[in-house]
Amino acid sequence: MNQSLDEPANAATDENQEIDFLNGASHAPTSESSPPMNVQTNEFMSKIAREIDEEVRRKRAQGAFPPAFERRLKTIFEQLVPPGAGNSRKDFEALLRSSDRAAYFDIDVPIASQKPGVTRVKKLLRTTQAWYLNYLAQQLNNFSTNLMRLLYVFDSRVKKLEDASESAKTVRPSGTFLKPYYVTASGLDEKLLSSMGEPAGRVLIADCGNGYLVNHLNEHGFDSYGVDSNLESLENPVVTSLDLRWQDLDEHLKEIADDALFGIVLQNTSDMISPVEKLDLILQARRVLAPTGNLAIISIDPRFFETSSELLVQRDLSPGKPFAPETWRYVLEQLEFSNVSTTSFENCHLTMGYFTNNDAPGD
Amino acid sequence: MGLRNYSLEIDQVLPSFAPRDAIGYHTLKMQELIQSLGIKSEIYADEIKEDLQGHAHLFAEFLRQSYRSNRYIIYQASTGSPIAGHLTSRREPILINYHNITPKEILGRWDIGVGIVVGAGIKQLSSLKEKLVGAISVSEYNKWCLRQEGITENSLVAAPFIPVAAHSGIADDGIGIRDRFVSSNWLFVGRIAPNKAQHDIIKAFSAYITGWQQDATLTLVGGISSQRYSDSLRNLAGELGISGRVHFTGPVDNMELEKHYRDATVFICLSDHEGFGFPIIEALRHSVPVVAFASSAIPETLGISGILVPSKDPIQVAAAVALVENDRQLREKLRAEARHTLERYSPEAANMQNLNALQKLIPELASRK
Repeated sequence: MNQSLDEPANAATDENQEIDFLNGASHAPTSESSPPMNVQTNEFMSKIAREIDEEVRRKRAQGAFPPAFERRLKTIFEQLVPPGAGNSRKDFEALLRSSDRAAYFDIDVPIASQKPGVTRVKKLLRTTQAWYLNYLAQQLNNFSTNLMRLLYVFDSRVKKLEDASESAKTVRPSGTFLKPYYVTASGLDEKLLSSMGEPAGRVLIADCGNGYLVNHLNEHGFDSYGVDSNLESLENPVVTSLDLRWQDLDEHLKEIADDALFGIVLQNTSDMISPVEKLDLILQARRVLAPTGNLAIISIDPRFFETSSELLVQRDLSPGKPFAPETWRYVLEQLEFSNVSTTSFENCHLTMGYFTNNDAPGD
Repeated sequence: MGLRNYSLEIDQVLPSFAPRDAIGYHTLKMQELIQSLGIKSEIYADEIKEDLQGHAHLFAEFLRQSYRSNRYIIYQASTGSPIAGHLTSRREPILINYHNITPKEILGRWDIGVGIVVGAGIKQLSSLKEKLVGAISVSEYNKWCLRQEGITENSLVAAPFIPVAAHSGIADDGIGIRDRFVSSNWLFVGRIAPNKAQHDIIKAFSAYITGWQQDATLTLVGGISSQRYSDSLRNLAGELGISGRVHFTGPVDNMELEKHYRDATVFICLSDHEGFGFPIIEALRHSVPVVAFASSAIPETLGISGILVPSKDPIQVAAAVALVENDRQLREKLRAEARHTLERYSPEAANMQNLNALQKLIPELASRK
């Protein structure tokens, strides 16, 4: 099925996939995860999806939607979701408190009534059944008290874990604490262009900044768009009609359907995140790349960070350090990218990998 | 089983029997179908709304009745209910007519109590399965859901009975094809409930106002199932600055509903979960183009007589609406396809399919015409 670019990823597949990094193996779930769809309906839906994509591109090209538009729609509603309905720590604590309040079973049944005599009957019933209900309520209260204690202990242990993992990634180059550094090098754009081959689908430019690379690829017949988590850098695009979106990269990748993109260009943030996050990022990229898709990684030369105090601060405060081109090459090869090559520029490297999806239809 | 045809009884039980309710209507029509075969059939419900008093008995009455060897029971299942628990202890053969149960993950986020009830409903299916002699689902999707609960034996699909409003066929007068609209009027009909995802409709509508037509309106018809969710929807519209363009009508009578369908330029459905999707068929009957999110049973119900979107991305949905509103040829194609869909879900088709299903599942009915 030809899926639209922004179709949500198949959650069942995503969650159930076990990925063995070193072997690059992936095991799809064997159980039936969704009902089959009528072939005719499927084909019609795919055809219309292409027309919808075209209409969206036309509107974006007119500059109808500011970069923050979608993020704003999402965050406004998230703020309106009642506490306890989300999965943040605040939500969990709200739920824990309300569960605690509800965890006591009271046998003191209200007996008031507007009908004459009913109050007395209710009172009699309550008195005669109290011994029995009290026995049940005591057992239930014992159970719920213990359960709540268990939940509080569990919560405090989870909090410790969360704090430990948060401290490992609180300082991010793309956050408000540090300004992102957008790499530029003469000849990089041309090399990227020639390495991408003939345009055959959409290209995502991560950490797109002012959209320079997006514009460059579009001028040469590509259909590309950009995402960046730094709103400031999106505010002065090189061309106003570019499709640039204010969104976190990992969040954006999760929303994209399998095999939907022809190319992905990673840069900036991908240098400074932790090794685990880097691998997650490449796995996500691999999932959304179409069979024979391209992955380009523009990485700052680790030595270049020592050329200015600003970059030194950025490197030292980041949760991870930049990979050398040899490391990126090793990672891509382990994840079954082929023809991996690296080109060096004055302060950065361009590592290209070509992905052949062995599960693609017809293979 | 030793049943004697002349004394065969097929009774139906359901949690709530209400007018202008899809399951209530289906149950009534099912009763008519069974009675047309000369078979005695009663309806028992835990709750009977005022308009239907006299058409059904309270379930408590059913509980007092002893086992009757000549009786089959059809359980109209759509939510968790103590009825399912009682049925497991009955000796009569039981059939389930499955309308689907919304997953607790969707409803429980907004109302834990409702989440628990629907969660219990799914568990009850599992406990009931040993007692079932057969299942009739109102969609292939529902049959698939039953299969996930291990209910596979004698599982059939039969179209539901859908209330026929004033328009019993597709409009040929040109009004239906919506070529003369000046401004866009989006419509959704359904309870204000999280699984109906009206918040996604409002977000998509906001994108439409931003990118396409500033003077568009959105009408959300339906009573409130979750007050908390309803309040959030109003706040969302307020925060987005489109309160004046989003109308919440609350529950409406048939006349008003008819007017809303007549005024609509597009019917939009972004539900996360539908066991069938009756309002989609109502929209097709009124020649309103449909744009719907391809979830649960919706692709099966709508088929190619509307636009199915694979994503709820607000701009994508808004673009789909713009596409259908601006492309006359596409609308004509959809309208032609809608005729086939309406035939598939006509009262005659529902009658025939349900009769066939009953005859296959109840051996004593096989020879009845």
